[in-house]
Amino acid sequence: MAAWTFARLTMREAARSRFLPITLTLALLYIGLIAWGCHLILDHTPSIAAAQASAFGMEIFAFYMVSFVIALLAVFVTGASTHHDGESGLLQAMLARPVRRFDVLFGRWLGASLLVAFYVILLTGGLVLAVGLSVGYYPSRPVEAAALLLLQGLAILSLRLLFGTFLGNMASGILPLMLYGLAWMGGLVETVGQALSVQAMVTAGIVTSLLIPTDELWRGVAYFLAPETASALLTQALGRGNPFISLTPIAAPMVAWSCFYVVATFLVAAWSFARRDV
Amino acid sequence: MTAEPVLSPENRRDVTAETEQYREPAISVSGLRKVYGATVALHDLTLTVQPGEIFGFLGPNGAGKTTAVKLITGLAHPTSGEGSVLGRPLGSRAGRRELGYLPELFRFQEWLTASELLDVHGELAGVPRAERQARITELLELVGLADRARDRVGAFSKGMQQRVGLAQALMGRPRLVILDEPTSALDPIGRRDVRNIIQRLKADGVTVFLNSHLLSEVELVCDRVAFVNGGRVVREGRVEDLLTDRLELHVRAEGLTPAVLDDLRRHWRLISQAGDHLLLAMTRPEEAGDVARFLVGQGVTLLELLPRRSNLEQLFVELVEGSNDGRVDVRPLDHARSGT
Repeated sequence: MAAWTFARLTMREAARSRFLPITLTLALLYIGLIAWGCHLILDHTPSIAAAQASAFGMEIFAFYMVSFVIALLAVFVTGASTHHDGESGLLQAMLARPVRRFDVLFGRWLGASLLVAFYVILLTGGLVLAVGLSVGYYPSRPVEAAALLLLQGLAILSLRLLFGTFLGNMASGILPLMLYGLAWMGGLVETVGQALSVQAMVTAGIVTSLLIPTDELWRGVAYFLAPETASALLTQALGRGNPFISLTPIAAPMVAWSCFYVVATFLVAAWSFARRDV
Repeated sequence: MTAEPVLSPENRRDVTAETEQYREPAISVSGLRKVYGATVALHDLTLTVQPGEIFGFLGPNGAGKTTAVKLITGLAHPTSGEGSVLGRPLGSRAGRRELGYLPELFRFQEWLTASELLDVHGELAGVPRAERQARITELLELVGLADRARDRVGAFSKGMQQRVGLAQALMGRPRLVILDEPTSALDPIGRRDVRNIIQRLKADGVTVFLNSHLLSEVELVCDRVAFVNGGRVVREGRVEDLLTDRLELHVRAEGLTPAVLDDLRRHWRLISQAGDHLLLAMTRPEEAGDVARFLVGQGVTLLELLPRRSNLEQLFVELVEGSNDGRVDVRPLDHARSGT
């Protein structure tokens, strides 16, 4: 019950601080821009198939940007770090109530997760519809793509909460984003290693994706966004050595690892928060 | 602020019944110690606060007062020692169920209105939804913010934020209220209002643990006080007892010869002498008459005789300076008296 109070507080803070209306406006602008681009593609390509192929390319890049935006949002929607709120006095009167610290952190996690889920649905649904209604291209499995995007957001969000138990606002926000960048670099190294058949590079990529699975999840998103059969050859042509494209679906163990990663990171955060003096 | 009681009649506690139910101390800690890295913030805190009393916790900056409060409220974990709050283990959720707390560093969600803030705290404190609105109205009225219920806390002055902080501390109908410097941002009228609220809380059977630098206010409202310095309690006792022990008599007289002064010293402790002015230590107010009779009997002309009680501030300065250079007996008052 206390967790739900804190979840509502997290969501209400986002709404009251103008964060929600500003990001919503920007998201709609983003979707509108892609829709406008698709219309231009349709006007300037000789066939619908060529337009769809170009639109698919644009959609993939648009989703890659969405992936980054979701990571950014996941950092910001959690609000200030618990370490900062404890130091500043904001949490003191609340933690003196008969609430468990686990509930405080879980409430924040839940509220932020719902906000991230809202943005994932908005951006995924908006982009898929914008491209689909403009050029008639629809990804093979958009729901699965959205689910993996959400999982990626939850991983970043959980890391932010964990770092926030012992670091201030800036450091606890920057660190997950640096790890996100590290994952991207690891994925790139792995892709190049696969193209050149260099096992050490592949291994480095795998280790990185275990450390932070966001890039692996992105590749899962990219795979589900690709056309099922019609443009498979084009996808393969684009996909070889391309960090934005995946030729294979994400492995089930990696999805399981990512889920475990989110839960474990949150539990470590809860443990760290419970031990700290406020 | 209004002159209304802290609790409306239907919400007021049945003090008699609860006294029967809760005979355990409101706060009881023993050997509480807190170390931050190489710094010992609290050495060995042992104290008991009885239910229904107003307890003043005094000390200079850095004495360990806020650390002690954080340990009692469960915000920080003790390095060693143990204790209970309202009969429940220190730091437990059960111990915080009937606890209200206004932190020294009060800061609230600035984007919430005063009413919403109290609603959140009421929810966390377990106040049923149906009762919350009436309680919010009652408390905002009490702290003088009834007309600002719908204003955001961020738009409030520091003093108003402290008032709303006091209201949140009382939201869960606590049996124990811990107020850490509750008047630091208030003007003299606000301080008087808080004093009145504290006295009404006592009338309602609520225990108040008051941490304050304003010793004149502490003296007015507290039943017992503890002085803490360097992370240790250096003196503890009832305010009356602490100050009765420190009665002084100011005398101005003509004809104070060395022989008279020597005789005087045999009966009373002469604190100081400057010309015609004497300062004597007494144990009872009635001794002023004895001094007068003695001096007149010695042929001295009395010009002025002024008994006065030392105040907490003087005692505070003496204790802090004394404990810093090791001159003060750091035992609790009762033990120090009995010599045990």
